[in-house]
Amino acid sequence: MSELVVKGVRKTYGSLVALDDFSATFRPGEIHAILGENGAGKSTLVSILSGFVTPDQGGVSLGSRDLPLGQPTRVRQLGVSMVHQHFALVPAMTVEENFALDRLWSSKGLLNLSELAGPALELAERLDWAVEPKARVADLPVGVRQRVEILKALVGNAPVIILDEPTAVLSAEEVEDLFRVLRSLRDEGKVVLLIAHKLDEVLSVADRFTVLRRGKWITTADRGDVTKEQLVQWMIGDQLNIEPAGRKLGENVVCALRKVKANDETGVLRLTVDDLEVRAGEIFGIGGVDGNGQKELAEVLVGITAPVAGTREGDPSVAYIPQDRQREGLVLDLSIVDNISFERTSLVGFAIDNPKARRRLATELIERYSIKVSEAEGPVKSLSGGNQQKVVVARELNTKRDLIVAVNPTRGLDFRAAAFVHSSLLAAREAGSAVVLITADLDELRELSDRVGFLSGGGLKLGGDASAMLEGH
Amino acid sequence: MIATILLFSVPLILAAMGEVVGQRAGMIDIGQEGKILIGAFVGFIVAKITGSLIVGYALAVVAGVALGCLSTWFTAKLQLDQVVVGTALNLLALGATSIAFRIYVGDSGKLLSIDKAPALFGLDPVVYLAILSPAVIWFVLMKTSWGLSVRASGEYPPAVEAAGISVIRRRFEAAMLAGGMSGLAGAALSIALSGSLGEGMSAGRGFLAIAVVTFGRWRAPWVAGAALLIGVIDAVQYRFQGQAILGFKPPLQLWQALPYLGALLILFALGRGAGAPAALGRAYNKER
Repeated sequence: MSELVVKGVRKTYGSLVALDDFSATFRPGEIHAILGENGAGKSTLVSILSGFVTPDQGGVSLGSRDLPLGQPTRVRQLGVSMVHQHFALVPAMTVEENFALDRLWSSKGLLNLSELAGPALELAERLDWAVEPKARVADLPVGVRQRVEILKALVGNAPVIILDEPTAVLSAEEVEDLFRVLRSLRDEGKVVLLIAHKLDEVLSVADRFTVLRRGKWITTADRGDVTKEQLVQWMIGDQLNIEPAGRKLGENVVCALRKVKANDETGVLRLTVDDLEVRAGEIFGIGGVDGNGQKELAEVLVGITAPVAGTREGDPSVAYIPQDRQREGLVLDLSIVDNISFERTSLVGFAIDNPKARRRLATELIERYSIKVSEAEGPVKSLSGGNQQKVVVARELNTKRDLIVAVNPTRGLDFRAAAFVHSSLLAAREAGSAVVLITADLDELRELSDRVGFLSGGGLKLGGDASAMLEGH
Repeated sequence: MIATILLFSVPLILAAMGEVVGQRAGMIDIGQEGKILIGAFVGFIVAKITGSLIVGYALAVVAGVALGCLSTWFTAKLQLDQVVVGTALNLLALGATSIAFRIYVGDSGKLLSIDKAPALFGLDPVVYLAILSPAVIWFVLMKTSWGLSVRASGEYPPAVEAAGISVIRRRFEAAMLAGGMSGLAGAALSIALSGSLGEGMSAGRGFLAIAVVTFGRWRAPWVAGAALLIGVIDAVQYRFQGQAILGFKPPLQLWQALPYLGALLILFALGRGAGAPAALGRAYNKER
């Protein structure tokens, strides 16, 4: 059994350093958890290890062999298997067919399903992990789908298996079962790499930890040598307690949530908020790791999603800067003018389009928000990420609204664009709007918020103790 | 009567079998109509010039394969809209064959004719090909390794790429097979069914093939059954043309519209619904 050794890996995206001179050794027969906040560089690291991303510098070796980074298929054949958060399964096909598809390179001509799927099914048996070969993947619960995905990854007898946030989609029972299997893989002498952010879970299964912060290696430690508090400290740095500036809050409650529960689109409960009041003239900052109810909270506040229980009080006019600007904030194929000028109110009834007025408005906004465009009639997808975000911000903040909800509004933006978004939000607060800033960026939270809270497992905990976001539910 | 029905169904079955493969790989081929038309012309004219029906059929298949490659180049490689590319191909085929027809026949508008193939047990040999084709296509799609990856390409391309197989390559291969079937369908139409060549003689069969694939729920045997049913309606209308029913003599055009009306009603009853490949009509882009 051989070690997986990472040597001086560095990866940049534009001016952003995603991973900076990272080195580590992952030993066979251990479950090694890689910890870090959003944006710490975990995803970049696993993408490099599994061959999907080529680093600017450095290399990775397995035993005596250097891995051909940037060639995922080759890397996998050499024994590094990856279980992605998004499953690579064909929903309309059976479990057996999915197993077979993954081994298809080893077969030509006639399709022998039982032969191709056999090894995976035997492995399932050995791990005491039942899957029904004839069941359609689409009909299976998500935990079982993940089993199929993990079994696929294990079949080639890969010595290294990497799991990216495997517990994010699982119930508590399913997590326990997953960990049981991970332990038995460890006992077989595999390198098991676990990307995670829920500390309580990871503490119960990992043998060693490596902590990343802002692309940098912080430490690697054995389970026996660390406390949870220390890990939290390493992950967040010395900014554990966020103390808002203590401005005097306005009296006017713009929007309030009372005993609200909300589901995601698949009907799973994702958000439980007992009491949240947002007042005019404040920025209410909500921190937390992505996927803990952020999207649902934003959509309930904005009014896109109706809560399944509880009430949303107040009927404010709303501006929304969604997390996924490309899918929810913009129509990528339409022009900058169209994107920046469509007013929600004009969608009601038969307002007659006035292209001239819209072009005038667009030109004015492009000027005022200094959006870098070659031509205003060009499609918005031709803009850089930062300028796309400016288009969204310009449109949403152009008219005064009672409530502004912004989700990770500066993610992926360079320093100047981010500073611009920040000043726009502050200006909106000064103008008397209530701003809810939902972000995973603690600096942003600290700089802008008047009051803060943290989301974890769909629950909202008020107050500035950032370790709240790493607690279990 | 049975011979007539079979003959009527042959081009539709062959074209629909090709369309099944294409759609299972995720491509909706509106250009089917144009490929049939080109196949009909190439097959007929080559057969006429060389005096060999087999060479005619073979070159019709080659033309279909080439057109399949061409449209996949636009849709899979350059990621253009499949409906737009297909429509362009149809218009191109219509124009090109019309010009070829005028050059070859002159402006007289008369039909050309050709001697049909000698019958095999009372039927044109191409009928046997059409009868066999559903079983062959079913086998290729369901019982070969290639078929599994083609079906997965039409359902969830990322899983295919994750397995180390190129989706674009699979789509090219499927489109070549589908194109070859369309070319063959066209040649069967001009050489075996009509024994003559006329402008625009595909007469919507390509579109019917697409409807029939939906009707048959993307499964080769069902699709063949559906094509046969449309063939029956077509043969029946051919037979009753010009006859009075209860003292009323329906116009010729109404009779000719019957198969299409039948297809429309069936589609209306079944709707789009379940069973369609999930990635049908969508270009696959690794980066997204």
